[in-house]
Amino acid sequence: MNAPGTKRLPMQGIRVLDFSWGGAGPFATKALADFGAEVIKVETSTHYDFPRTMAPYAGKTKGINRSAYFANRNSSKTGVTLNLKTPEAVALVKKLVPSCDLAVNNFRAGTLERAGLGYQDMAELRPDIIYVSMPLQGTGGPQANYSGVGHTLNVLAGIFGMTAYDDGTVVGPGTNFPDHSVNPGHALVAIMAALVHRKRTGRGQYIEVSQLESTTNLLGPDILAYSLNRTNPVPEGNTSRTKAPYGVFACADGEWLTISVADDRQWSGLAEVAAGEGWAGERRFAGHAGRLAASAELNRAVAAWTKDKDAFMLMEALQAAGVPAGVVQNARHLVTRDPQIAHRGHLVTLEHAEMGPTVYNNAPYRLSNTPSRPRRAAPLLGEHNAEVFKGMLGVADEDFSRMAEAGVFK
Amino acid sequence: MTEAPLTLGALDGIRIVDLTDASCVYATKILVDLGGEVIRVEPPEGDPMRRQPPLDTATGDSLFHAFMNVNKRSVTLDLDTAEGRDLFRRLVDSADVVIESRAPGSLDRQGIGYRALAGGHPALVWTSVTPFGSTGPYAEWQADDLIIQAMGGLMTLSGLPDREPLRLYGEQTCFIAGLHAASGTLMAYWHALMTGEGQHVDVSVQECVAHTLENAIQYYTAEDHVRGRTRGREEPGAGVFQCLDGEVFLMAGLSMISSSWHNLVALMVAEGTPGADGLLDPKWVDHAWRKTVEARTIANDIVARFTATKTKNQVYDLTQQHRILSAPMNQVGDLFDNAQLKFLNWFQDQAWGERVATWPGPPIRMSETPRRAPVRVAKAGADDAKVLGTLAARAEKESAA
Repeated sequence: MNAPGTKRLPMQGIRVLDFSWGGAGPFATKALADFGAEVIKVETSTHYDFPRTMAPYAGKTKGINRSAYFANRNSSKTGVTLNLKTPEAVALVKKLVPSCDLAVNNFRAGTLERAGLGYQDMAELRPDIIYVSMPLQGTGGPQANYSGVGHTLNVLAGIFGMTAYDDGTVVGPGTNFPDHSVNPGHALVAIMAALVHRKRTGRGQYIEVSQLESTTNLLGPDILAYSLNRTNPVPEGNTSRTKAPYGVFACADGEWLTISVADDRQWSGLAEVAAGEGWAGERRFAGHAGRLAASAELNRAVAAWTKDKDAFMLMEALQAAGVPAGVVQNARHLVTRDPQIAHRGHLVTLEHAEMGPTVYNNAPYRLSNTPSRPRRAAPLLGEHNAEVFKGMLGVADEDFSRMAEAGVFK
Repeated sequence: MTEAPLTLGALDGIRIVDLTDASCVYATKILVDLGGEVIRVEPPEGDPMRRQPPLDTATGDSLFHAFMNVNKRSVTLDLDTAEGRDLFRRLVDSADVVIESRAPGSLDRQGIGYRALAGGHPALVWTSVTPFGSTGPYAEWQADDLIIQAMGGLMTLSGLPDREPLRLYGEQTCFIAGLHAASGTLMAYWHALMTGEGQHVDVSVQECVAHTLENAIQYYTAEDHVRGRTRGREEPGAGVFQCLDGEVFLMAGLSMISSSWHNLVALMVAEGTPGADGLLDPKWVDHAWRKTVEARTIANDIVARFTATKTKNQVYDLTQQHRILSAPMNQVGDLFDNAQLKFLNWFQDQAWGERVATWPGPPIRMSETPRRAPVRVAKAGADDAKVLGTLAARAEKESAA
């Protein structure tokens, strides 16, 4: 048996030409890299991957190689810079293509095509290449050129309007949610399925993950429901139509605790932990229907009970009694005191040449024989130019210097 | 009505046994979309997901269930009986992949867990999705979407700073965990294709959510800053603005893409919006001024005058044509009128009894292996005869030989 870390990783032997930038694309290729693929990240020094200039920065000091946000999305990748406006840079990419299994980009539709690096161009050089595009809104249509980010996608695709307090105050998800969830997720699943298809048939293909189409799936059940019922769903806030008590309850020290009781067994667990409270022993709450009918009253009673209690201790007591309960954890809780996140090995610290020790998220699934691990810190801008162009492509020293002078690697 | 494409799906012929619940069922939904043969195992009385809202108000059918399970096969098995467990063993033996979300150890205790069934099936990929993971101090803990949004760190980022944290709508952790479970499963399946070696894939829904926090983890580890809830409109030109028929969302501050602000001011001046001229004053690029409540109030009152006379889609078109980040605040019903989704033929009409249901379209388009049209939502046990019958016949043949 191999020692941990020496076993062949599942994506070993797969080479990825990665033009993706921002939030969504690099998160998909990060997983491939952390599972062993050789991901060659292509940037230009004038149009580098923009999260490089997005906070947080190591030690709060700005710098092109210091963003911890950028770093987390680009672990285990090889980084090169090329100015694709120069013919020699395009020629270098074309020289790389035959050895690549995958090419990924999330530019505006048509951008790489104009550089002569569209799917057809690459398929001529590598017929079974898998080419992934992640345009915001598809490749054609009246709004194909409209701009957006995760926040605007939330609004456009409907999830923003549905994430509201139960008094109707619309707030939306607090993040560029689809950049971190469905868009990299759908892209990664499609890539893996296309690799399986290629292995079985010898054929590559073109994959398009339109971020609008992908994100709109988040409300799939409600879209189907609207088509049949012709009514818009009503935001639920932190309430439930099927569970009581249910919600988020204030505790001591500004912490919040979620509690969700779905059945009689969970209710008796709660009643046991809250023994002595009047409501815990009330007969009308003994059955599910009675609790649902008085859910607002019950939630108020639970809120009065939790407000002076330590959220973490109450969570432990409730879970020990079989009651679903969880503290509203923030990043500090997750990093410093959640024993389960620690047990999973979710956060991995790697030494970075400029940033020092830097924390990366690992993939949230463990393959028992071939676990992933961020293996290498995110690349400095252009860090691996010599390794890739001289080492991999055999560009002679003098040519490499001349190209550098001519701005090919800008 | 859309015919099923003649082309094979990417995962055609790969048999996946599906024992997932609403915590992660999107995993097998995406795999069936990609052409996998997904066989959903339900208890004899039917899957409790068949009652999960939203419902078809005419028939009472769960549309959550329909969306998540369309095109899957359905078999019913009573895993509390020896006969049911025996059929389950045979079913797993005929499969390439199992994805399940039972409590950690529960299938093992019934003798039909990964350890028991993988022995005779070395290439088997078995994915377990549990709230916190198969092992560890919280492995036995109970959770649903609300608890996981809290424990995973998503909820602390959602809501208003002076109010309670807010759950994201619509079982979002099912989508997050489902996609990670599908990815991990396919990586393990890929490894099995290459080496013949199967394995166990252990997915924690909490960990999946902790992976979805934008930059919050790194804000803490790199800058010692704990991200919490913020107001989304802390800058002039950014926020939700009233229109004739709803609202529009503008991100025309200086902080995101600075040209958005300048383009918005120029557009409002050209439109003759009252007060817009004043925004040309150099103080409006002074960050200290822009951070004041006074600045926000003045600017956003002017922007509100600009949007109030137009529909949300008029503002969307106009602002986008002037390179200003924006989006109309869509309700679910508005999505059916989205010009882009219509152009892309995203929605798919299918017969639904005597009526027509409009299904969400593909989240992914693959040139060689298009998605199967959403054709059939199987009744519980609809495929008992075909799937289980074949297994029973095979067993008879084996014992005869």
